[in-house]
This record gives sequence, C-alpha cells and structure tokens, in this order.
Amino acid sequence: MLPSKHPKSNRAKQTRLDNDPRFARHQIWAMLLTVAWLICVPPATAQLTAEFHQTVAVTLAEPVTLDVEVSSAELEVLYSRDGEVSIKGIARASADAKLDDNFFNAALAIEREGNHLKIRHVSNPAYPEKLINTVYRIDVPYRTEVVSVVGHGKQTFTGIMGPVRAMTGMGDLKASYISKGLHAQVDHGNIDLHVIGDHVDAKTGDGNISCERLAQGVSAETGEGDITLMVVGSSAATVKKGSGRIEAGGVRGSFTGSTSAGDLHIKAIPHDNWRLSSSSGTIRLELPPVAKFELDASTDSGELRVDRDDITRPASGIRHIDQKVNGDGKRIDAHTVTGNITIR
Amino acid sequence: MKNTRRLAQNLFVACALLTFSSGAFAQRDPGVRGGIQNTGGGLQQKGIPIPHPPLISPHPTTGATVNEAERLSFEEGILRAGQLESTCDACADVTDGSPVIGLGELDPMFPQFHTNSNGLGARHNADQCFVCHGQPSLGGSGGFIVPNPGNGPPKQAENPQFGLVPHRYGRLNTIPSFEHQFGPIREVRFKYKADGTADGGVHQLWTVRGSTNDKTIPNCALTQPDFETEAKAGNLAFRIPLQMLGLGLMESIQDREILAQHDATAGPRGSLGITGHPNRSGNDGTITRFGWKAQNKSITIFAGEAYNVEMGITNEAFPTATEEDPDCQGPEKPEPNDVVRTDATDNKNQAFDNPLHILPDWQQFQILMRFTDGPAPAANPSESAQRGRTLFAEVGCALCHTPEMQTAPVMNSAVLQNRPVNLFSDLFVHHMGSKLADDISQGQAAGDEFRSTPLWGVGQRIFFLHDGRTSDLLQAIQSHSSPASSKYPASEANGVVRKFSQMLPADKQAILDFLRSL
Repeated sequence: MLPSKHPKSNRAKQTRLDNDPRFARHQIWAMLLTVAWLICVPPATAQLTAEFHQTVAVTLAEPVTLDVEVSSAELEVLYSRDGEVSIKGIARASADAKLDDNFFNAALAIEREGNHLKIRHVSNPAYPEKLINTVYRIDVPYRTEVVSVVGHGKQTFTGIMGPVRAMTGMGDLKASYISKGLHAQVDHGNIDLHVIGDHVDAKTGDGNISCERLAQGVSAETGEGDITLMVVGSSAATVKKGSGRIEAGGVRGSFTGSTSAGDLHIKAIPHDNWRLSSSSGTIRLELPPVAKFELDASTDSGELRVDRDDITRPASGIRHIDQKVNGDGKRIDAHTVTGNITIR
Repeated sequence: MKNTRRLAQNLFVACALLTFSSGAFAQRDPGVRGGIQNTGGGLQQKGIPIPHPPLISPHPTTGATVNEAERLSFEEGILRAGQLESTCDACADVTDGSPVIGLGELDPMFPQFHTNSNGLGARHNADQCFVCHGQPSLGGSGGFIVPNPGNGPPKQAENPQFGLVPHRYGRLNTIPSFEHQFGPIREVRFKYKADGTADGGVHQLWTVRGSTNDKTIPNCALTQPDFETEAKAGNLAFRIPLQMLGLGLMESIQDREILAQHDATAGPRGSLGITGHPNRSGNDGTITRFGWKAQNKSITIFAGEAYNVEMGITNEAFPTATEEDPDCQGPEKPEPNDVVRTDATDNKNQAFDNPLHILPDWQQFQILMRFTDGPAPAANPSESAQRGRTLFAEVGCALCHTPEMQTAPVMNSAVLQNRPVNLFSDLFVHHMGSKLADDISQGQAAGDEFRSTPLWGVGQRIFFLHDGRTSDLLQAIQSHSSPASSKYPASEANGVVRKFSQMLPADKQAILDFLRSL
C-alpha cells in the first residue's frame, strides 16, 4: 500500500466532515437508499425461472385426448383426479440465459376442443433452448389417451388408461400403470416400463429397455443396450449390435430373444416355445427342476454346459443337445455361434 | 281509493306470507351432488368407467406432493383393490395382478366379469374391494353397480348385493330380505349367539357354493346363515360401507390434536349435554378411529380385517379363515391366501413366474388408502350452502362434526404432515340413544355409541347412518334424536337436533345445502 502524500491534511478534512451534521444526514440517506435499492431492484443477472399454470375442466363423458409436441422439455403426464386437466410449466435458465415472464407466452400454445387438448411447445430464438430447462407436468384424469412427441427431453406417464403413443428424439421414456397399450419409440435414451395392460412396442436406437409386469408382453428392440424383462407375457427382445445383454425372468408365454455379442439369460417356466439366439454371447437357461420342455441347444464353436441331472451331459466336443426333459413340453431352441450355452 | 290501496297492500303481504310459509318453503335434501346418474354406477350405466380415487393433493402450504414411490404404490393399490377375486390359485381368468385387456371390460383396472386375482374365501360379503366402495368414485362409499357387466346393454345400476355379487360365476346364494335392489349395501352382524351371549361379529352373506370357475371345490355344500329367522328374532345389526377416501390424512392426526379439539368445545358442549369419549386400543391405550364405532386403530388393521371379513382372504394380519370347510377352500388355496411374496419355492408366485417380490394385495390396499385425497367439496358452493356452513356451526352440529383438524407436524411423508384435514368429525364416540343403537359393543364403544361420522363427501353419498336406513339427509339429522330408554341414555345430539328443528325452514335448507356441498 502506498503512503498518502498528504496524510495529515486528509485526516483533518475527514474530521471536519464527520462533525458536519449535513454530511452525516447525507451519509444516512445514502445508506438507506443503498439498502432500499438492494432490496427492491432485481440483480443485474437475468430472471432464472418462469412458471405457467392453467387448469381446464373436462367432462367424464369422453376420454381426454392429449396431443403434445415439445421441441425441448421434460414432459410428465400423471393421473391426479377426474374432471380436470392441470398444465404446469416451469422453466429454469442458467445464469447467462435470457428468461422472462413472456417465455411461456412465446413458446407454448394450447388449443382445446371439448376434451381434446393440443399442446405445443416450440423453440423460440429469443430463448436459447440449450440454456433453459423446461418441465411440463400435466395432471390428467384416469381416462386419458396420449400422443406425444418430444425432441429433446425425458417423458413420464403414470396411472392413465391410455393408450399412449410416445416418441422421443433424445431422452429417457418411463411409463407405469397404463391400462391399455403403449407404443414407445426413442432415438437415443432408455425405456423403463412397469405394469402396462396391453401389448407394448418399445424401440430405442441406443439405450436400455427395462420392463416389469407386462402381462400381454412386449416387443422390445434396442440398437445397442441391455434389455431386462420381468414377469411378461409372450415377448420378443432384440439387441441388434454391441454387447448388450438380455435378461428375462418370469416369462409367461412364448419368447424370442436375440443378441449380438451380449449374453442372454432366461429364468422362467417354459409356458410356450422359446427361441434364443446370439452371435457371440453366452446363453444361460434356468428352469425349475420339475419343468417339462423339449430342448434343442447348439453352439458352433463354444461350449455346452449342463448343470442338472435330468439332462444328459454332453461329451467333450459335443456342441448340440436335442432332448425331451420330464416328458412332453414346450420347445426351447437355443443357438449361439461362438458363445457358450449353460443349462441349469 | 285509500282503502283500496290498503286492501291491495294487505293482500300482497298475505300472499307473501303464504308463499314463504313452511308449506311452500319446506326444506328438502337436494340429493346426491351431481346426480346419482352422473356418479359411481350411474356412469357405468352410460358406458363410462367409474372415476378412480383421487391422488392426495399437493400440500396446501409447502406444495409438497407424493414422491415417485408413493405415487407408484398408490397406483398399484388401485390395481389391487380393483381386482376381481377367484377362489383358487389357478382359477383367475388372466394373469394375477394385471389389468384385464381385450375382453370387453369397461375399465381394465376394475374388471367385472374376468377374475385377475385369487383367494376369495368360502364365506364372504364381496369379491372385490371397489364393488362396495364405488360412490361417487372408486374408493368412495357404497353405491350402485351395473348388474349385468359384459352381458348386453347395461341395466340400471343397483345394489351389487342384490344380483351381481351373490350370483357371479354361478354361485348359488339366496338374497336376504334386507338387501334391496336399490337399497344400501348391507353387511350383517348378529347381536347375540344362540345361547344368548353377546355375538357382535360379522356373518358373511355369501358362500362360494356353485362357483363355476373353480373345479377344485365340487363338493362345497356350504349354506348361508338363516338370516330370515335371525331377522324375525330382531337379532340383526347392519352396517354400510364407509368411504376410504382421505383415510391416510385421518390416520395422520395425533391423539393430542383430537383431545385438544374436543377440549376446546367443552363449554358449548356442556350446555347441550354432549360428552363423548374416544374409543381406545386395549393394547396401547391410544385412540382408535376407523369404522362406525371407531373400533379400528389403523388403516393397516382395517385393510387386513376387511380382506378377511369382507372377502374371506386370509393375510398376515388375519391369518385364519372365518370358514375352514376344506370342501369349500380347496386344495389350491394356500393359507394365508395373501402374504408378502417371498417364498422362493413357490413356482406360482415367485421364483420362476414372478421374480418380483412384491407386497400382498391387502398391504397395497392400505397404501392406496393412505394416499387418496379426502373427498372434494363443491367447487362453487351456492350462497345458501355458504350460509349453511355458518349455521351448521351455530346450531351446534360442529361440536361433534369438527370441521378441521391438523395432521402431525412431522411425518414420514411430506405430503401428509402438518396440513389441515376437513373431516367434519371429532373422532369420538357418542351415545346416540335407543333409536340408533345396534346393541353391538366394540372396544369401549357401547351398543348405542357411534363415532361422529366424518361428513366430508356426504354431499355425494346415497345412504346415511350406520345401517343405511335413509337416503334423506333431513331424516338422517332427525334420527340423531332419541329419548332415554331403560337400556340406553338419551342421545347426546338431542339438544342440537332440537335447536335445528326450531330453525327457520330457509336456515334448515341452508344446512342441507351446505352438507350436500361437502
């Protein structure tokens, strides 16, 4: 710190000012004004959130049909109560993004005709999407059908009758307790499904697919990723490339499973025929001791391992089993090119 | 000229008096809000599914909502409570615990002619929860249901105990004389046993004899109790189903809040002769609060008991059956029927068919009750109804039908804690006199004592009082009055009913309008 050139005179001037009552008043006013300004005037940074809420009364006589198209936002469609649809939007911006009360006016359009609601969120150059995270939560009656298209963002559906037809460019898709069917298509992202009444079509370009309690089964396909099925009806699961695995438990109907380099593991009672295939993955079968089935298992260059007493263990170098187990039963075809097959 | 004018004035006043006298302005119950035809089974009749129970609304102060696990448990609860029960493990028409799709059901979550669960007991009152809890929405009180699901155009919705439940799947039951086509759903208790000692237990209406969908019980010859003889002997006591909506909120009220609310009205209650007392658990001494006599401690116990008593489904809370006739229980009905599914050797429920170890139906049912919202009052109550709210308090109804209590300040679930509950009940039991007495004692509630029934949702109930004796609110209010008898003291409500009777017709009407707005 540099020494003052005139320390003495400055101190004297300061003492004079401190003793001046006008100066003291000015000082108090200045402080008060500063405090008031700090309290009342918004900070120089932009508004960080914007909110939207609209409730629409609907009749019980017809189902609500929801048609949603969102360029970039998370979408939640959830059962809440009958007689109304509540649309809530909340946008949060990063510190250097522009966001104001006009955000939803500029981006959101809602059209209504009876119980049919059309909701559109389109990108607006004034509000850079990459810097703003928008979530729409739509509370709906149980009897609601949905068609939704989301460019970028997560989708969630819970507790509605459906059917639901949902498409996402990038982002996960989650659905649970949909009484009717579901068609889910995602370019990049995971699909997670739980208790869907009717048959499900689930397809993702890359990502995992997980399904629980889909009594009417699922057709699940991923370009690259894992597929897990638990307690499902007749189903098909396909991993098109990469090391994605298929894990299936409690399949209650026919089953077709196919992987590229990933393993395929199925643990169930064979209620219907199974067809399991893999290029280089291991196929692992777990069946209860009393299960009846007709097994046709083969590997071109891998190993066949049997860990149960009711199946004849193959001699070394034998890569094919064709045997009825516990009498007549459903057929299990399992084939892998270079992988192993294990039967327990 | 002057005389003519005076005569005209007098005539006008006379006409006005006549017009507004009680004859022309008699108070009248406006009936089920929205109309019976637009609620519960009335909707089914029009091909519209009965609305599902409402999810608990966001916390009014903090805005907290159910978390994802609570929401999914609530949805699972709807699925389980909607299940139609078959008798044996292999009898269900579709995979247990799954919605019924593609088979013509109006609501896949509330099937009416395809079973998607199992465990129905040899004796039971119903074969699914919502069949007795469907007014105005699923989870509500007892109402009407279309009697011919999947069989031609829907007939007029009626008491499901009249035709639907007793004969579903060919079951051979005789309809007792107290179940009327358009009357209340009634379950029955016997006051006394044959030896004259107190009974008080539920005697289930129906048996599984004749079930066409269970080949494992061909020799079931179980007969119904002799209700008609018991009726002639005056030995029957009826109860109608209470609503399940908002029970989680009621359960979240602490005992000290109940007692504080009661203490706060000591003065006015004293002047009207209202005392009341809580029914208490014989085990831990805390206040019990569920059921017509506040006899049940928790919705968990309520759920376990209802599964066993109403549907004959044994469970962890009530593990033994009310009827153990092996000819009617069948070899494919393991006991208890509905338990946490952890048995790894059970091929049917577990290891291979169902690797998901999930909660049993009865426990999912209690979670459903925990997270349903209380019944919603009218969105825009009339001016009369708004005035009625004040009069309801002024006349003294609110001394027992306490409009609001607060849930515990800190709870496991953020959505339940520290929020108002507009239940309109003090959760105490009161002496109601010999006219309402049913001679059934439960816990510390005597034969003439009943809990102040929570009035939220009363606007859309069809039947009132514990036995559903009336569907007219005015009669229900008047029935609160009863003189002392040799057996029971006078009703504690006498003073309030007397004040109500002395009110102007328009004021009484306002109270009725208010009640129908709840």
